[in-house]
Amino acid sequence: MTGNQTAPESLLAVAEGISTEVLARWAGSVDRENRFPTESVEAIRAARLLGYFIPRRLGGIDGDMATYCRIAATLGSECLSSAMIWVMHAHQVAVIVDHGNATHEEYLADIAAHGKLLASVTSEYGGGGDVLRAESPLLQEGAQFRLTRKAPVVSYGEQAGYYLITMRAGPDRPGHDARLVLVSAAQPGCTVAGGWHPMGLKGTRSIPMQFDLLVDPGRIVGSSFRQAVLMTLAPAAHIGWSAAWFGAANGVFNRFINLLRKSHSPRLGSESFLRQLARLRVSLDLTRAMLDQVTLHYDQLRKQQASFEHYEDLTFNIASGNLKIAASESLFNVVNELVELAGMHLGYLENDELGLERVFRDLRSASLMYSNERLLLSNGRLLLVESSDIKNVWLK
Amino acid sequence: MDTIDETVLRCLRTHLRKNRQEQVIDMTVDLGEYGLDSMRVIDLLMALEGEFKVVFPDDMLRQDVFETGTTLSNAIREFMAR
Repeated sequence: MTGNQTAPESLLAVAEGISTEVLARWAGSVDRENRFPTESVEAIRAARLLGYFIPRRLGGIDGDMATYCRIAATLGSECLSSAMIWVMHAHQVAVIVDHGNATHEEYLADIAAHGKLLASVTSEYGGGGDVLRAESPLLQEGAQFRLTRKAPVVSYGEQAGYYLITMRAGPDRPGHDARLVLVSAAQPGCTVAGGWHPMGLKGTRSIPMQFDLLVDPGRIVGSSFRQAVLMTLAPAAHIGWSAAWFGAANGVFNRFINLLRKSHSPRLGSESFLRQLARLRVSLDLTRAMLDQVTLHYDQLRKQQASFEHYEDLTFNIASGNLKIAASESLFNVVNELVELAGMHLGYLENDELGLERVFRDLRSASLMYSNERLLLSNGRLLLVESSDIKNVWLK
Repeated sequence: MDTIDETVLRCLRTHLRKNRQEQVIDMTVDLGEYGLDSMRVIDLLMALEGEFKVVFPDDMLRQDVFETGTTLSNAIREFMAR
């Protein structure tokens, strides 16, 4: 792509084209057949959007967070599975861009040139889904490390070209002393260990996997896991997911209105119905305002190359967690209310034109992934000490 | 070991996941080694404040205070004597 084609407005136009022409066409069959959205991801790949956060000198787009949000929402409006795959890939790539070193550039260039997917391996059996801790340890074996690990959920694990795997630094290290290890899927020892039979988000194909392989120390990304999480992984995930969810809810809301107008529905003359629609729009607008606000702040920190201390700020972390909590709850509620308004025929039964019951099932996952319960607990702790100097204890 | 040491030790045992009551906590070992992370340190702070019926001032919220059981005990002892 030339510089001009990577301007935000051009990228959005490309994303809109892909969304309406490709994602919309395949979203229904991806869901019914419980399969990876091959056609949609191929379109995203062909538009070079898999290199979104990668620097231009390595063949990427070097995009910002605001446009990342808008692309995620655009893709999410037609196929939430495809949007989530793009968001998860993009923010994992951002971790390598932000925290990797020169030895990792060849992998970034490979991702940008060939559109390989980068999958995250953070989940562990019995680990409780705490992204800041890891159980399985790296074991020193000569000059290398042995990486042995099971993961219950690896989104698009079968289709990934690379994995970014969270490991405990060593068998004698505490769980919060973790490392991110970049592994190529071509390396023997990455094994699919089961299937994926969820309620929704079927296209993400979030399968269980096992890993048993030797890695060079150069495959470890970043020196501080905590920095990688607080500066990139957590905010970029919360923002990207929330944007994709917003797109899904907003998309089906707009399709519903278009359908009513097209069919000259008598309900359009009902004042109580119009008030109900307007009430849902209030929720959508509130979520979008929160999304824009957190994204703007995060973009500013990134553009100013702010020091780590700014990312440790308790108020910033509470706001970023709150975005995920609020978006996951309120957008699902909007779609749930929409099912009620649409009724049995349009809301509950499968309908490719509207896709409402699919979006309902897809969005049900939002509060569960990176569980709201855990996030509420951590926000609860943070707000107790928000006005204190607790950050000084964390500086290590 | 005085009452302050004992109270600190009791709070550490409660809030360090891999060191339940029966396990030994060395008061001179870095608390990070026992799994004290950014979230557990808040739980620990609340527990200590509850035990000693105080709210610790910001000048006590330092990495060198929360380094080991002993540094924590000493800082609390100093604070209580203020």
